[in-house]
Amino acid sequence: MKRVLAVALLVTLLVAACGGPSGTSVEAPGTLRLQVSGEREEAAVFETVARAYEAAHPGLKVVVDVVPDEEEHLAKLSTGFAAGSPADAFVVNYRTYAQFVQRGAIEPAGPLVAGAGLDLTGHAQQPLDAFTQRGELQCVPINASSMVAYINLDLLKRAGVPLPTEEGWDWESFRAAAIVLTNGEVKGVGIGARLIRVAPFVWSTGGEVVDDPVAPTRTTFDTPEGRRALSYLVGLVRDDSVVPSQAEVKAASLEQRFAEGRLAMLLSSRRDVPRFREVEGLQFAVVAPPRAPGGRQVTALHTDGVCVSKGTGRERQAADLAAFFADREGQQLAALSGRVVPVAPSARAAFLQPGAQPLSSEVFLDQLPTARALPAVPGWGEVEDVAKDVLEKAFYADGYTVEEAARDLDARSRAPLAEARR
Amino acid sequence: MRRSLVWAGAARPARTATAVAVVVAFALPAALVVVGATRPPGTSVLSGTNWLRAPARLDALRIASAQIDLPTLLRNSLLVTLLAVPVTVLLASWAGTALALTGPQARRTLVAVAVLALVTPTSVLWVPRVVIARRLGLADRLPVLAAPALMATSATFVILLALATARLPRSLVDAARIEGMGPLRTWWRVVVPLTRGPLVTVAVLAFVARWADLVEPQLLLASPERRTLPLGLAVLRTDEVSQAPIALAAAVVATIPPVVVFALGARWLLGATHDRRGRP
Repeated sequence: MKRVLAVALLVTLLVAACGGPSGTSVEAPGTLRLQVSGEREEAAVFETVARAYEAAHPGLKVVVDVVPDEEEHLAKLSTGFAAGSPADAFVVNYRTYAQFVQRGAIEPAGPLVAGAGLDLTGHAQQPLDAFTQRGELQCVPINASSMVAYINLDLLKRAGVPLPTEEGWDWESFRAAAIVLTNGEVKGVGIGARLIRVAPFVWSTGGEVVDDPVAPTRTTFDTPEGRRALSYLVGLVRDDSVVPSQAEVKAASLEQRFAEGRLAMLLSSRRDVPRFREVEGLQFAVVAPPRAPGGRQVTALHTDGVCVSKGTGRERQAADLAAFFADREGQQLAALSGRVVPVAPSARAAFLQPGAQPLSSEVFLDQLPTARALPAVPGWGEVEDVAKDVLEKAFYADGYTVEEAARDLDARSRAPLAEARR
Repeated sequence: MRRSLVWAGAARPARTATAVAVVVAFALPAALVVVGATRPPGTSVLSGTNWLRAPARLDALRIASAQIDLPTLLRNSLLVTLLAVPVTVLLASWAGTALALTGPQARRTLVAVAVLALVTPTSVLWVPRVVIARRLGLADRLPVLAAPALMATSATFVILLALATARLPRSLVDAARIEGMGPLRTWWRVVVPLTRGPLVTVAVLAFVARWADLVEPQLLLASPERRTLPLGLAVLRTDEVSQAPIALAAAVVATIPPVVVFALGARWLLGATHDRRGRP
């Protein structure tokens, strides 16, 4: 009797499993699964382009599988590959795709998208380089953001600080502006304690952040250039007090403070534009990040690419989808959202959108030739985690010197990179 | 005697004060969530008293519903839990009864298996679950999220019901056997009526476990129309700029079903830990 009941129960479950809400299963033929990560605005961009792709390819369906948290996104990808059922294509940042190349999970996209008719002539070179490994384009870059300084124009005007000239700010004029802009609850500048925010300051002095950009074994902050950059940033936080404290950042993020008019300048990428546009009354501009006195203008590259999973049997269809995202229509749709800096020159006009904030949006396009990429190697994610830990301590912990931070960072970066090489 | 009465008199206000402090400590965050959910989107808790003085509105709930399709998420989560909870209770009770009534040798083995299941990290099961779901053609289908119910969801539930069954007088089970009842009838006529409190406890815990699960839906579902509530809340969680009221409004909605289930089961839950006179 018990056995009969158990079997009946199992059959009931299986029958129920075949039902469920209406909709196409990802297992259905003619359906492609694209796994992406990102906040709501970014997910909306992927949905928009996917629907346009469906419209251009009747009979095909694209399921955009959004995993908001990036770590969970990578965990789901790894689980999918281990289980032999990855998404047909997925979008990752250039700083995290190397692990999938290393384990042979990616079908190099270069030859596939060329076969799909995508002409990459004129596309931004930095993202293409960032996604090239083993002599082939591994994933197709679909955006090309970089670090800029967001500026609250009202706060700037109220403090009597002029916008920088075409030459841009150097460190000292940037610091002077941040000091004048700091007033009561309003802080001058927000800088995240992250390697990707600090790296441009090192590069600007002529230094490097790793010992070998292709096969790094450690970071190189314990150098005159690295220490100079760290000293400048730590000075802004501790000596000048123009950066929100750790407690203040924990209570409200830098982005939130900028949106609420409690932060005059913010170093960030394009990702914040859609949110800041939604804030009533917020007038903002973007300018290039400051350069070291006598140093060079340089910024950090932010780019994502569509990768094609190997072994799904649908690599060509997935590559066709990837090509659509990087081609004219996909790029224009993405650029119109305001969230994405396009890689295709044909989407330049759609991106600039006269009248739309931020003022001087062309900075994102103009400074791209000065954008440098961080290493794209397995284990780099762990290095950035270590860097976050050390940089937070350097910014906010009393008695922790710049020299100690530089030494700790270089020492602690060795293990994850060595582990990943094994 | 007099001395102890004085102590008791002094202790009562202290006990009451402690109880009030504990209630406030737990109730205050919940109250803030509800208040926050009714604030206008775009405002921040950090703006202080103005934030509290703003009139209560349902704008945040409307926006949340539009952003993450709350009705669909609620429906999906309810479908999964309504499928998973009865199966969990049934199978946990069967397994618990078997564990309690079997011989000492077999019981030791079964307890060892249950403990092994308890200490196995869930992440170890992710890949096998994805593989099985795919092989059975259940990938990206809602009922796959109820599949752990076929293993009673958690060994904890089996052990809990085994302990409850083991407390029953053995003579009752023996009498049922003498009356000619088989294992299934003995379970139905003897064990179920006398372990209602623990059964309801397991039902409530199983409901909460399925309702709040984020990892398995994340791994096993892909289509937006099949997402469950925790996945929807995760989307709102990534919004940073002054969108707290929207996330809080969705969180309040997500909290209502478990609270209702707990309220419905409260009588039985208390019955499981107190006797008829209300004594522990």
